[in-house]
Amino acid sequence: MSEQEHELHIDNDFFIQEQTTKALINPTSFLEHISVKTNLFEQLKSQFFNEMLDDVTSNGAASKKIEQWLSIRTLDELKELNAQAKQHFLYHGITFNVYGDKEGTERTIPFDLIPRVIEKKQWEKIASGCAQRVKALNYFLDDIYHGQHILKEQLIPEEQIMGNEAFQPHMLKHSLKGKIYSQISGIDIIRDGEGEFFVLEDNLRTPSGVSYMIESRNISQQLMPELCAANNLQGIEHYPKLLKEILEENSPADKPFVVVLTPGRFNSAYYEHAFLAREMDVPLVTNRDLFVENDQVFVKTIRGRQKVDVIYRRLDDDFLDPLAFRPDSALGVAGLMSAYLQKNVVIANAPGTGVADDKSIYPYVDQMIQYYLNETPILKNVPTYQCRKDEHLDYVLSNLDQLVVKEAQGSGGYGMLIGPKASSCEIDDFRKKLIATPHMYIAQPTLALSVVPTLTTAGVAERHIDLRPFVLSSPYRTEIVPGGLTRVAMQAGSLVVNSSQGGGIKDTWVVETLHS
Amino acid sequence: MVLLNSSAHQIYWLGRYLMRVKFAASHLPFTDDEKATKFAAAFGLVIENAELLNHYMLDKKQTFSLLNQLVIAKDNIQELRGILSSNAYAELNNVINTLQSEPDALRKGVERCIQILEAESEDICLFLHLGQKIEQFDIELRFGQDLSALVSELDVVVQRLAGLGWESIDENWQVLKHQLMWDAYYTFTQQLEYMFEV
Repeated sequence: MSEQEHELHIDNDFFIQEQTTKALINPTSFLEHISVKTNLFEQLKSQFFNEMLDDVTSNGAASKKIEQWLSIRTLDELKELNAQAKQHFLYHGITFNVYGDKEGTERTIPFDLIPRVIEKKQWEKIASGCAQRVKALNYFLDDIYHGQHILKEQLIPEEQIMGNEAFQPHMLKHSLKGKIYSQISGIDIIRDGEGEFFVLEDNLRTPSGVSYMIESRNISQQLMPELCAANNLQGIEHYPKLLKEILEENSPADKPFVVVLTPGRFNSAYYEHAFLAREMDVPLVTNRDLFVENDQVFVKTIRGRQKVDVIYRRLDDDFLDPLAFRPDSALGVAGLMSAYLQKNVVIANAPGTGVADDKSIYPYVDQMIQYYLNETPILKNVPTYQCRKDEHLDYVLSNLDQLVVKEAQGSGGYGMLIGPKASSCEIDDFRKKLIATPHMYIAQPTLALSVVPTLTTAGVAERHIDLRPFVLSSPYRTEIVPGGLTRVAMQAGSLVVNSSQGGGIKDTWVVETLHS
Repeated sequence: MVLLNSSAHQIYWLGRYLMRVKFAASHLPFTDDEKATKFAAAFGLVIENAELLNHYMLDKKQTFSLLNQLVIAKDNIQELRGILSSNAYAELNNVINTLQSEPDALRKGVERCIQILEAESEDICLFLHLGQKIEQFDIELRFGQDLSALVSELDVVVQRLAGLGWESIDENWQVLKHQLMWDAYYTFTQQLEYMFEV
């Protein structure tokens, strides 16, 4: 698939001194009175669905305000604001490590100044669709670790679950409070060429990125306070408080003691682990802070041992407990699973949750929603070919240059083939992998992901995006802060939004209404 | 805020490294070979030339150089990310990242780091001071200085630690107070290390 880049050079003429002065005097109301001399975004019209231009369900009021705000600034001024954002991220150490990066240096995530707007009505659909999905996935997890009705009724092939490497036999017959396995879920959403919302994948293990969501809002409010105020944005800053409440609600203890378990400062998401611990005012621990005695988990504090009731773990199942999983794990806590199975501690998300976010299970989520909730899915799935099925494999092998192939257990944009962008050599490599281990792959059509205006070195241009809302679940409620993390493929034409692959982020604005 | 033993340990060592750098930087640059030789010898180094010692102290490639002590201090700060306030972390990181390898800048940078940490919680301050004073004890013992004032200050810190339930260190502290010698010092500091582990 080829893509034409539409870049727009912002001209100095658009800088309107008088209106900027007004902005300084009355920052919240000036956007109402300003007139725009050009249709900045109109010039970005292309074959892709541009959320700021092509959404017929909205009147584009917020987009217009953003366009106006951009129009009165020179490209240099906008670049300066983006540079300030980068400086802010650097100064505050809002960085991540890239696995395999030889330099081992911390990187800042590229932040794009131009926010992504979601109308409240659209957001309500996304939020209810995500909540529905997570509810069904939790029921599914409870079912496969208990009665396995969905397998007995052959709605999902048994071997796909029982043979799944994320399936944890330890969890069989182990009941959880409120049947909540995934307390924190990240659902990746895209819009296609028609503007329709689709779920691209579910992330139920340790979905990351929420700290970037919050930091994006912080920096937006610093750099363009008048624009934020003018759009009456729905707040997201309460996420850490909400997360703590949700974690506590999953525990049977009266006043649960919560910790965040990190693999340590060399982990790519260490910044986020520290951020969440600090914002929740709970300890950030590694395995050496914890110990198990008589099936109780304790943390070592300067005032003595403290019983731990909830562990928000940010490491994979395999490393949790060397006695239960990988014996060579240097990150786990010996005896943790035993304490967990005795219901003396909550591990969030629950061990064995990964089986539900395996990409080869994803095609069945629609059926899960119908089966467990007796509801019609609110959000659609992207059509998916399961390479384990002969007929699907044949099709995939014949159309590799048209498809996106992903590892069923992969994440972070690693181990992926984007057919239309791949060389013949890369396609041949994947063909061999698919023939050798077809069950490890799925394939999807290359979607014309929606685009939004993004600031580039040459001006404003369209870039592809996705969205990861974060769903919090307890036995008593499901909460989703409005928005989520918008990831943007910073390279022209690229469809890969993962930060580890050079993707950036945008603030996501859920606005009260776009209709006047 | 609940302070973990491991975090207290990081703060303690951060205090030690900051004190070590502050002390050494206050002697730089050496101009007298004899003084330089004595200084180096106190730390087990055989460097008999002032200029060479100055170079050594500011050479990042040398394991025990001042700049490397700061690299370790930076690691300590990174480990403390979940416990330090967001601004304190950012400021500390920034101070260390922008430090010039020049004695006066190092002294000022370290003082700023201590200032930032002292504005954090009482528990953080307690272990920071413990680390600083233990390091100072180490230094003064090496140079055969009068330790009486420092012993009084450490007495207060040890009492505060006892208030946290660290009473078991008192016995070895009493021994050290009355025998200002290396054996007693090592026994006491090893017990401190043990307390961070249990």
